Amino acid sequence: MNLIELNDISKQFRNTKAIDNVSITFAPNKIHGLLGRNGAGKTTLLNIINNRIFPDQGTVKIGGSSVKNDEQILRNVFYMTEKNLYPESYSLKELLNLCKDFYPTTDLSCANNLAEKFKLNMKQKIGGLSSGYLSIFKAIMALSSNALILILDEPVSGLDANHRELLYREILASYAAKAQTIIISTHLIEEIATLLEEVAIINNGKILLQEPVESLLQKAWIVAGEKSKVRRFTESMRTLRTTPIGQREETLLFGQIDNEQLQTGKDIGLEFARASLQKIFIGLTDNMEANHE
Amino acid sequence: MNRIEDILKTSRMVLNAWKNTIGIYLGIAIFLNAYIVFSIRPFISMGNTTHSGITLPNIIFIFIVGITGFYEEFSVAGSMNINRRVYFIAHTSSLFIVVIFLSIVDMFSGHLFELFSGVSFYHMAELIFQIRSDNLIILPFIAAIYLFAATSGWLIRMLYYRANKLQKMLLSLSPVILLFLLQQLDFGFISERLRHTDIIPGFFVYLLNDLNILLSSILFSSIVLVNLFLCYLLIRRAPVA
Repeated sequence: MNLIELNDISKQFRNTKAIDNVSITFAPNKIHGLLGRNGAGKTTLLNIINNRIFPDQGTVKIGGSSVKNDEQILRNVFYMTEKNLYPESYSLKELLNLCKDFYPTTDLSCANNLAEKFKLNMKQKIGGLSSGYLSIFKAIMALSSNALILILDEPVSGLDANHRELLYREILASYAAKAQTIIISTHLIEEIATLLEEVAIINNGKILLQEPVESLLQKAWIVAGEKSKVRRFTESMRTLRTTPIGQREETLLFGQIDNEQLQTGKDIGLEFARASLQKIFIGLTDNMEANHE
Repeated sequence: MNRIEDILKTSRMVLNAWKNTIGIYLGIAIFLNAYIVFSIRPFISMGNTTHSGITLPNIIFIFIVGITGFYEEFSVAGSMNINRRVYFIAHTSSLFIVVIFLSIVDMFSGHLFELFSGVSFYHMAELIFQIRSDNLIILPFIAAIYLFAATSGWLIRMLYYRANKLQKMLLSLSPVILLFLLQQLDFGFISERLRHTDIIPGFFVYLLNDLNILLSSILFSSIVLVNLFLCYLLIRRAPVA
C-alpha cells in the first residue's frame, strides 16, 4: 500500500538539471533518509513524489497507483515541507482542525500532547511563530496526522538541540506505534543516522546509492597510520577521501575488507575504525564532485 | 474520503478564509450607503433624489476577492495534498456562493433603505434596461456581472501565478500598452473612422443597451465560462511550492 516507486524521473529548471533520470523505490514501513548537499535535488524529488511539481519525464507510483492519475492516493501521504505554505493569519488550532478535516485519522489529543511537550502555545497564529516553532508545528501536524506515509523535508530546520532530540524521539515513537513509511530529507546526517533504516544519497540530481544504513556502515573503514603504509594497503581499494596529518595519513575506504586483509593491515601497524554515515556521505559526495570536475 | 466530501471541505475552508474580509467590506459598504441615503433624504421634496445601492462597490470588491483570494487558500489546500481539480471546483463554488450572497444583499439592502428613508432605489440594471428592480430577472444579471468581475480577477491572478519574470513584466505592462494603442486610435493615427472613445464605451453600450437583460446575462455568463476554463487550464499544472 505504501510502497513508493519512481521511474526515470527527470526535471529541468531552465539550464539546471535538478533531477536526472532517477529511479528509486522506497520500501514500505521503514524510515528512509534522503541525504544530499544543498541544491542536490532532495526537495525537488519530494515535491515530485507529492505531485506538487511535475516531472519532465518519468512516473511516480504509490502503492502501485500513479500519483498523476489516482487523485486519492496522495491523501495517504502527509508532506511536511521546509517552505511554509500556511498563511500568517491562520491560528495553529485552525490549521490543526483543517488537518483533521483533510486527514480524518488525525489525532487531536496526540497533537495537543506534542504541543505541550514542545511548549508550543496552540492559540498563537502562524505569523507569530519563530522559524524553529514553525518547524515544530509542522512536525506536530505530520506526526498526529497518522498518515500511512510521512515525508519530512528538513524537519529540524531552526530547532535547538533539545527540541531536535525530542523530535527524533517522537518520530521514532510514532514509527514504532504505527505501520508508517517515513522519508526524512536532511543534511544534518550525524544526528539522524541512528533513526534511519535505509539511506539514499542524492547528488547533482542523481541517486549515488541507496541501501540499508547497517550494510553501508559495514562497508566503510577509516584506515590510519604511516603515510606510505596506508597508501600501500589501500592501493587496490576504493578510497573516498585522504587526510594527511603530518607524517601520518587517514584514508576513508569504501568497500568490504575481509578478516585476512584486516589482520594484514593491523600487522603492519595500521589502525582501523568504522566510518560514520556523515563521513561516508561527505566522502561519496566530494568524490562525485571531483569526478564531475 | 470521496471527492464530493473533499470539495465541500475545501469550499468551507475557502469561505472561512474569506468570511472576515466579506463581513468587514459589507459592514463598511452598507454603513456608507446608509449614511449617503439618509443624508440625501431631506432633499426628496426637491425631486429626482434616488440611490443605486452598492452594486458598483460590490463589483470592485468581488474583483479584488478574485485577485487576492487564491494564493493562500491554494497553498493551504496544496499542503494538505488536495487535488488541483478538487480545489478548482471548490474555489469556483465558493465564488458562486459569495456572488449569490452579494447579489441578494445588494437588492435587499437597496429596497430596505428605500423603505426606511423614502429615497427611491434604482438599481444599475434598472437604469440601463429600463425595468423595475423588483423584477427578479435582475438577480441573474447582477450575478453574471459579479461573476464576470470575480473570474476576471482570478484569471489575472492565475496568469501572474504561472508567468515567469518576463511574462509577469509583459502582463504588468499590458494595460499601459493597451492604453497607448487606444490613444493612437483616439488620435486617429490608425484609422480616421475608428476612435478610442468609440471602442470601450461603445462595446458596453452595445452590450447593455442594445441587447436585452437576458441576452446580456447570457453574454456575461459566457465570458465567465471562458474565464473559468482558462483558470482551469492554468491551475491544472500549477506548482504548489
